[in-house]
Amino acid sequence: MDTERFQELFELHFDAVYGYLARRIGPELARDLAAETFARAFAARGRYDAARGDPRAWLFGIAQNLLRRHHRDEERRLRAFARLDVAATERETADGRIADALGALALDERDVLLLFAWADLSYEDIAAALEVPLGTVRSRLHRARAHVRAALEHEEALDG
Amino acid sequence: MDEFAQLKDFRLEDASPGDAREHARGVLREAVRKRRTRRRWTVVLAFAAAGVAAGAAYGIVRELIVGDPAPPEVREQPARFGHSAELIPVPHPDDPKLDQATVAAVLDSSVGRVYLFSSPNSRGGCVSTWIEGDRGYQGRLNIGSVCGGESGQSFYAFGEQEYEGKQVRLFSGRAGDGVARVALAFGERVVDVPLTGRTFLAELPNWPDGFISYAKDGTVLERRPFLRAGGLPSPTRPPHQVTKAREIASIQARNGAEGVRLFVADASDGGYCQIVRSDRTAANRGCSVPPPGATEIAVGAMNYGGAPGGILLLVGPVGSDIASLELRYQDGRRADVSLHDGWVLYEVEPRDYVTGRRPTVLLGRDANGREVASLRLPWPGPGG
Repeated sequence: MDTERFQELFELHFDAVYGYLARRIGPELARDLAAETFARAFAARGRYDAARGDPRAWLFGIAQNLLRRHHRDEERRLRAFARLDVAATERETADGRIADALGALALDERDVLLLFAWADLSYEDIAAALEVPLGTVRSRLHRARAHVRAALEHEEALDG
Repeated sequence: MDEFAQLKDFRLEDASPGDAREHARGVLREAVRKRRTRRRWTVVLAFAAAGVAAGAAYGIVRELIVGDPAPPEVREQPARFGHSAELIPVPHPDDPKLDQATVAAVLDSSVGRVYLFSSPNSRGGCVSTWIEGDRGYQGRLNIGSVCGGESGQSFYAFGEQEYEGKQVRLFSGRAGDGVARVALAFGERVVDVPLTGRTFLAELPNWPDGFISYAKDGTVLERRPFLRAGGLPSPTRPPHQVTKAREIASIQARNGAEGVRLFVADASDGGYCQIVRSDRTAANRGCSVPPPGATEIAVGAMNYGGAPGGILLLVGPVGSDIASLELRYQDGRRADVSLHDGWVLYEVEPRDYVTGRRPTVLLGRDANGREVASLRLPWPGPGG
């Protein structure tokens, strides 16, 4: 991939990568991780194979690898949000419950769920990004959705 | 609204990519600039040792990109090159400044990936090799360094070590001024060692008989024979643990916040293995503790956990005639050091790390109170 083509890739996909990272670990850290994602992609652009499909899978795969170092930060942030939500509203809101449920998910399941929900990647692209089989993506996504659904339904039942 | 729709709408806070995008552009511009000044090296090393049939060359193929900063764990290593012991690391001007190290070469050896780092010092610079994942005494990265003088000559080091049960022989160094090519002689065979910039890193199947460097026009600039016939002597196999470790002592370090325990086992060379453990810091184990003489203090200083955040411990055995131990400080203070079945595990508190307060000497007394041994604690550099 030449520099011009990479520049196009940057212009096309930076916002999506940054937005995804920011939703997961906050804008400050996302700023650095998004920059690092594209710097790494640039360094590895010679190995990028356009025939392998959507370049977003490649970019989000790099972003995911960088993100893994920060999963504890993410969990702390989600828990803090849930606590803050209760403190601010004096009751649990749906957002607080989602934050709680996301924070309680296994990292592999959270990655799949959020790549699907927030990055709008297809199952195939998630599999490519995470370098796991398609069936694994499906099963993780199923478990993750069930977990979040159960958390929301449980809380709704308690709310009465 | 189902859980998926709720999830899609969920966000902890709003973020605009505006500033982040400019930041990333800056990072990319820098990456492009660096990329243009870097060189991409595809290196084929082919060493055919004397005694190996022609054509059965030992080959290693690697793509190397030089110029990246060394990994943080390398740059954060305290400088200790050339120090026989340390309490608190005090850099010496001749030490490699690993905090400024950059990757000079990478080699996939028979025991795994090997990095060559290049770093400055006060003289001719240094190169350091590290087998990825190799940790040694006190849990530090097992990094071997060699530094050059001010003469501009080539410098290099051979190292043979065991890693994960396999022996590996590494040759690394930096070419001197005006050197265009370096080679090793194996008997009458001369084998080029590829240069990566000014540095070289290779795995050897056998020890060479000499080092040769050439100028661009082919003139020999340096020729240094290795005097021992058949190459360099084989290293001594380090002692290893032969009995189960037993717990000897425990202390509450960091004002009671971290329990530290000392275990001891017999080593294969007749000495001891000592293992320091805690639930917060990686274990530190070493099997090079000789049995002390009857009136000897074989206590060493250990920066458990590494500088700068580690715990400064005095650890080791004392001889059988020593019944009590006293630690004296620079400011005249004295402290009793407990003995546990002939072993010491003692924390020097951080407030005593500074010049003027440091511990200076351990005194050993026999059962009658007579002073029978002393050990001056070594301090690298100024302040000791």
